[in-house]
Amino acid sequence: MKSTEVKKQMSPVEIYKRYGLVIILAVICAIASIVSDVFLTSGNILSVLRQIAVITIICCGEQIVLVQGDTDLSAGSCVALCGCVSATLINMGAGWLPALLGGLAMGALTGFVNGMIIAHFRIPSFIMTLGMMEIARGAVLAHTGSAIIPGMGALKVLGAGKLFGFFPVPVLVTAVCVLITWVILSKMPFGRYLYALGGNQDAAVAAGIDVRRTRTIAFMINGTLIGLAGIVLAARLDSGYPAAGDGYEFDAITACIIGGTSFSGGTGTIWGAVLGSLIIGVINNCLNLCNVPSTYQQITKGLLIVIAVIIDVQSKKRRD
Amino acid sequence: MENGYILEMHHISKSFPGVKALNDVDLCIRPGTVHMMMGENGAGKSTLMKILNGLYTKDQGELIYKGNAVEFRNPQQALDAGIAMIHQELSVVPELTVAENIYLGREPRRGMLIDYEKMYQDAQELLYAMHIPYDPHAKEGSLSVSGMQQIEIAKAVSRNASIVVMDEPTSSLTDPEVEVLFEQIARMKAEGVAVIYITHKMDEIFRIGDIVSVMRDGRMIGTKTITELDAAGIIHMMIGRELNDIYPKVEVSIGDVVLEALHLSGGNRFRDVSLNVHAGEIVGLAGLVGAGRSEVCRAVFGLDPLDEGEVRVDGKVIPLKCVRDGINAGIAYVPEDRKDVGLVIGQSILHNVSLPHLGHYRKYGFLRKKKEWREVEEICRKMSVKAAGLKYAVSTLSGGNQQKVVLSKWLLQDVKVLILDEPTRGIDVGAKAEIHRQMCELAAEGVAIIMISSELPEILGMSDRVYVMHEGTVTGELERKDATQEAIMKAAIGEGKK
Repeated sequence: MKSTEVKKQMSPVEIYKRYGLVIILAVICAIASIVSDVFLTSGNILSVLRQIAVITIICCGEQIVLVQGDTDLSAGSCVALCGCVSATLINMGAGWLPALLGGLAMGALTGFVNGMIIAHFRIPSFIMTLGMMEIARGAVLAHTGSAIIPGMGALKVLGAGKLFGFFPVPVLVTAVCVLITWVILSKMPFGRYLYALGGNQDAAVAAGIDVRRTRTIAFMINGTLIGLAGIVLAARLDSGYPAAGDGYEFDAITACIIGGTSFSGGTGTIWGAVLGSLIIGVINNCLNLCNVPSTYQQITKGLLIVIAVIIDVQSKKRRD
Repeated sequence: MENGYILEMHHISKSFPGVKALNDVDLCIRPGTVHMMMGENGAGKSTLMKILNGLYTKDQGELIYKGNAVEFRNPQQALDAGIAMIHQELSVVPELTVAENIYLGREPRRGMLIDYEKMYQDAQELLYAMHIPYDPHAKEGSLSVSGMQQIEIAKAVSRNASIVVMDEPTSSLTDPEVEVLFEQIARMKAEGVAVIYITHKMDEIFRIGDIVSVMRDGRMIGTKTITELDAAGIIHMMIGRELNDIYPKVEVSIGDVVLEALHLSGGNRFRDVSLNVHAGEIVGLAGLVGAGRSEVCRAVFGLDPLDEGEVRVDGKVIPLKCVRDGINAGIAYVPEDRKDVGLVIGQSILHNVSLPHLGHYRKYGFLRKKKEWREVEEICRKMSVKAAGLKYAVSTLSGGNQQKVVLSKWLLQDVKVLILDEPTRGIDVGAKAEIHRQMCELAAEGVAIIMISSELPEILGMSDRVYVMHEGTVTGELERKDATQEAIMKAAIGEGKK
């Protein structure tokens, strides 16, 4: 969101493209602070950030695969699977590090399987990850016997810890994930390949990009981030829930889409996705503070995604 | 309409970010004439037609149609008023039948239901009257491009169109199909329809044109009746100077063999193909469409698998498992299809040009963006890419400029062998000459060039040596002095087979 060089010739559409989400977020925050005295307190803001932490980490992973023109529907199930793997390892007496790595490895593995099959058999990611959603959920239910695995030991700090006694550790973890994603997408050649792949796969192949490898690695990064999200969630609950994360993939994809990422690939930034996640989080918080039932929050979220896409399509049309 | 014009466009101007696409353009059309529109790519012909058609809104100027000032907000309004546009890429629904396509959106009804009986009957009568030999019950998708085009014309006629705009309608037609199209145009003309015909082909102008308008750089250079003009006059109007040389061939001293392909075979696409190229040499690859020329070149680049044979660069055998192997060996391939294979059309010039070479700008895994920007800017300047800036999407550029972006992309790093697949197809004469000049400069720098071309004058004008292919095999190899149209055609149809 830097804007030092090209300030002179921006049309209203460009200004919207650049700052629209920031403006929307600011307006929503302003409304929230009027309707509720509590909203602008540091305690409340930190709690909003803590609540959106897990979804935002998943956003990072989804953003990476959305850019290359794919999508991952297995994220929610994999969150539960990876969280339970870590919890199981802790229960077996493993230290925090092996438990952490175990959860991440499980995520990387599911991502690898997703990416491998999508790249090699050229099947739509939508279908593959839909299958993986069922497989992962089934696996975690079978593994745990549908029972909760209590206790995350030292890993609990990732979900419930506070830095300097006030700053939630999960928010810090999220910030690091966002930063890593940003570096991958806009500072590394690999990120450029993802955009090229999403924009025009044939041209990417003809430019010497190894599409299978790129796609598989992207899904592995996605899976690892989802694994981390699973561990953070389990840490917050201090136990591995086999039913956790249900529908999280849609929340994350919603945030990315609100943030301006296209389903057809080749566009979007991680900052947009983070803003999308923040907008959803603040609206939910605002509705909570006003004692609106959660069912209405769901309706709001649904409306939001449709409106966001309408605005996106309209602004693209006007540019032509 | 007292002055005899069905359409008058006066003082039309239109700007896009950074470009003045149309500058005070006038165009007047009489009914019952074929009005040819010529001009280089990016001259503004298509923009002007899109304003007429309601796809773009004009910044300034007025549009008088049938004596009234009008403004079309969308193509539907223009169509309702009687202005039909037949695009280069035809817009049909392949799964619907011919009749359903013709009456799409205005189906004859009986109550709430479609009156299929009447629809097929009307369609049959229409096609019969227009001498179009297709069954209205046939699926549109089963027709050839020429067939679909005729159905589009039938659609326009059935809507009582007064003006039909055709954008390069012959670009993918065979010669007999072109004749059929011209008959349809003559028939429309006899009915009093005004046909606006955009083309790059000189022979078509004199075949069917009544009036010629030439545009250049967003301005209308002139409108003249066909009897006042000859080919040289039109070219002069188009580029603003005499075109003394579209093929500025320069004699270059030819060096050692750079690329050597031995006994290449790939599926049933090509068999036992051997060829070589020397440094500084331009080798033409001639043949009919479908002779396997592109397929051989794609395999040499690593884009398609090879079943047999080997490729050597500077005497060393190179593995060709993927494109990266080809690139690393110093081979570059500029494909025939810019939009599908050559470019990521929605992304910036910068990202497109540097895409194959990001490894060169990697430091500790990160991109060195300043270096990338500097070098891309330099090559684009060298290739004279005309654009408002490197961060603009290539989709905003004209065809000729897009081709220059593809060339820049492969010349950003040193290249030993440059394969050009139909490098000037769909490009106007000005840009053509420019690309040919750049080819000669590269040859002078010692690059070995393979040029696939279906245009014999281009093959004859640019090549030091010519290979001819027929049905997947090489049927002829001719030195520049021996290469004649007859000798090449003979080999291309398989008569020169050794």
